[in-house]
Amino acid sequence: MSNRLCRQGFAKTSVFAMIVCVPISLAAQERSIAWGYNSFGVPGMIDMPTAFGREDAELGFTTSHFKNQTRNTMTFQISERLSASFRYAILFDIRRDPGSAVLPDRYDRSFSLQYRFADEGRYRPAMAFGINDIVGTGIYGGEYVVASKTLTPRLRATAGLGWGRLGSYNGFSNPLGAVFGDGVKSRPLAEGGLGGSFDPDIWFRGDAAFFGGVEWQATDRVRLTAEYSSDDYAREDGSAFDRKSPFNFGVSYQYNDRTTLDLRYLYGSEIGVQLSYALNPKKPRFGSGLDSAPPPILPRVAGRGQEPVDLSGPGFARTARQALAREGVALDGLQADGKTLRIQIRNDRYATSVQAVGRAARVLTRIAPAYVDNFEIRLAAEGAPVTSVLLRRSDLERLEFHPVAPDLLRVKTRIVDAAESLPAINGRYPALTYGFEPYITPSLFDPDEPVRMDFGVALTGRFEPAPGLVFSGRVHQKIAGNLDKGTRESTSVLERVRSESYLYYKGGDTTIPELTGAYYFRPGGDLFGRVTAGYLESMFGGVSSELLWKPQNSRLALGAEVNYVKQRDFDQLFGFRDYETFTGHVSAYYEIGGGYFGQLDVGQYLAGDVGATLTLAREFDNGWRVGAFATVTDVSAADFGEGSFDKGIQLTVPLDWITGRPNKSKLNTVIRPVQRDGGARLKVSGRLYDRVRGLQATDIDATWGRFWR
Amino acid sequence: MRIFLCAAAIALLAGCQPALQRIAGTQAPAQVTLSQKALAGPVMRVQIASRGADAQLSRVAVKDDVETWLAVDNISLSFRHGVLVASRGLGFDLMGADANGTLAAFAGQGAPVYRRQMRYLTGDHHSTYLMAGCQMTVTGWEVVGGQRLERLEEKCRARQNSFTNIFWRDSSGFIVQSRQWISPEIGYLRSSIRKR
Repeated sequence: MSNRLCRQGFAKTSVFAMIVCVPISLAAQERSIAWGYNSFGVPGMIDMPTAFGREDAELGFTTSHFKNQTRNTMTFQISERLSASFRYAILFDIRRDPGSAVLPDRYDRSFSLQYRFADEGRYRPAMAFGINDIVGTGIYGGEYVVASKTLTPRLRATAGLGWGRLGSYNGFSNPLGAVFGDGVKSRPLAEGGLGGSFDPDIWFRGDAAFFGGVEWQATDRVRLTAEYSSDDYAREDGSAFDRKSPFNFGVSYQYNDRTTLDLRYLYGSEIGVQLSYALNPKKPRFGSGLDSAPPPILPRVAGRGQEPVDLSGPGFARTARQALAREGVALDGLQADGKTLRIQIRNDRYATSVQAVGRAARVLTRIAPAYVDNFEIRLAAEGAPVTSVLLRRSDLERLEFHPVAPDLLRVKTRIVDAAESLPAINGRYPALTYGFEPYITPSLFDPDEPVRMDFGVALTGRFEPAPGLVFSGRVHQKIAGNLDKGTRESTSVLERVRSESYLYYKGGDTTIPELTGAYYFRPGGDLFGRVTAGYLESMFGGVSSELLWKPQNSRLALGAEVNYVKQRDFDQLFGFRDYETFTGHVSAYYEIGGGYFGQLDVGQYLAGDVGATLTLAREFDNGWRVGAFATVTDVSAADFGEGSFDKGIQLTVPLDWITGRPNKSKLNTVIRPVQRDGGARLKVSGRLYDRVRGLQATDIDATWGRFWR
Repeated sequence: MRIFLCAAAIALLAGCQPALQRIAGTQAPAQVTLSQKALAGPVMRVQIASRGADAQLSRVAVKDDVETWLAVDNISLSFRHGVLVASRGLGFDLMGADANGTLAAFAGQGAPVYRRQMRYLTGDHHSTYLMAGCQMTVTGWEVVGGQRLERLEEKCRARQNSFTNIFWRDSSGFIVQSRQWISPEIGYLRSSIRKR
């Protein structure tokens, strides 16, 4: 008997093993959910799509390879009906267009969309349309309308009509011509060149062709697929491989609920393999997490604990600080006011601030003298207060084990803006912390080496002399990596604010990416302020100031940021280069509802260009976020260069979702098909919106159930 | 390329312990120091088959008629008169449950079919409820662990889940042993109490 309810080895398994190795029974094969991803990473069969989507919110990563061609795709099921994919393909011996000269290699990025406009009914098939290359160079350009029907629980059939690449084999004159006239019967070549051109006028034009297939779920894990492909591979045939037949055959093996392996026989001549890994942000492996049990609420007993305690004295503050620290909550300030005890806290441990409030409240019931009837827990970020949560002690005592405790407690709890700090406890300031951590800096999509990275050790330090005042820095010591092997010289005609990153990578093995002093303050109710000065990021230093208006319970927030910055030397130490500029934006943040989020930033970018960035994201209350952004400025597509305008994908993964252990940190990734100088923004730490929102009523209410966790 | 990725992984795993802890999450205290009073009190042995877990728990809090028991790895279980009403630290925890119907059925009172409400957290931190319809059957006396105990079976159905909780009580009505369902993901726990 181990005396542990959680098996010992279980908790110590490495992070990486946990992601991959936890066996879970296979998810039920649900009606209307696509059974797999095709070689383009789109819900489908082998090369062809189906009309079914994947489970809502699923994030699928696929890598598919056959002769001279590898496609890596990330697909997000944005809603039950809509999915979007980003694809990075490496192709050898391919023609830019059918009939043109064979190129030795090509690196192709594409975005695609699929929308199901009709759900499957008893007799009606599910129907969807899709566009395979929205803003790209057109190599995979193709559109389709497709219908799929579940014939028996284990058998599905699909038939569709494709255009572009998907209308290239056995094509016939565009049937849309009957409606839209002869103009749609020819398909102009995609403009290509720079890529990033948005060419809706070529979609669904030119010849069309039929495709189709059947899928048979032979066992719970094995699926057999046969399809008839309408893609003639004219860009590859004869150079990359020999296409001999329109028929493809595949076997899929579902290894576990997340991982699927595919083996395929393609076009009568080639073997293809695919690995798919799909996860759903709504389904963490560890449920509500392996966080330790909270301290039980200690009810007041008549006649006990009535002895006078000096709540303002250092003794009580020390007791409170220690007791809260055990729960991962840092005490910043404390104030006793008659029957109300107020504390100001920082949440150092939990992904949701409401859990820190819940733990703090439990601790207060254990240490506060019996005459204290009310608790006010003030949440602060960077020493500046954000929100007050006002609780009645009797509610805590009464509701701890109530089946609907969250709802009943929330009704009795007030959550309001807190603009004033409580008096700091003795010994809170000044505070110095420092530590070491590993870092990894990746660089993607350089045609010479699609993945490069550096890794090393970062020394981080932080000094807080007074509330809201934070001096912090990072020193990086590279241990190994190949970022400095980049040799692609910038061809930019703009100020080279980002395109000379390879010179920064070569600049030195010991660098100071960040060294700043920052002041966070509350200029008034619902207002938040920040001023940061110093070496703000690896390429720029200067002064950054920000003001945010964000009321509690408001979907809308508005912000303004003004920066004056100078370009840093390539060695990322203390020197500067000549270029200096004003950059700044006004921003509107809006929670659309249903987990969707929009942000619009308008202003002047680093290279002096003026324009706007639109960001759309789906956010989950556990911290996951999948978003996409695009920036259009007054820089022309030709001046911008490859990609024509700045765009990308944002992915945020909370660490506690992966490990099951309480953790505030998140992994943030921005994937850009290409980084150029137009539409580039300053990367300054401590931007206010993300600091503030997690501490406000909207987020607290959404995750209120964790108060009792 | 591959070589230094491996090197990176090794360095991450071996080299930088404190940082790794930061990445892997704040470590909960590995062992809880239980108070003398708790250690001197009764002991509950709990087994959770789906976790391969077998532990002795000490009683750390009594509030009204709810007792909270804690394992040394900081996982707690709370029972109202022997009926599980909360778990903490198991991952797919029972956040709260109502025991009124079960307790009434123990006393031979109440409706023959009654409701049990059980609260959980979803993967994105929302409260979610399972409403079970339950029925209690007294199946008779049997000797368990050398003790003559009365066995009661509570059969419940909640959406796609059906489960049977089993309680063994002594002649005073005290629940000595039980098998109770926690959540769809964890399944059952088995508990037995003995005086220290």
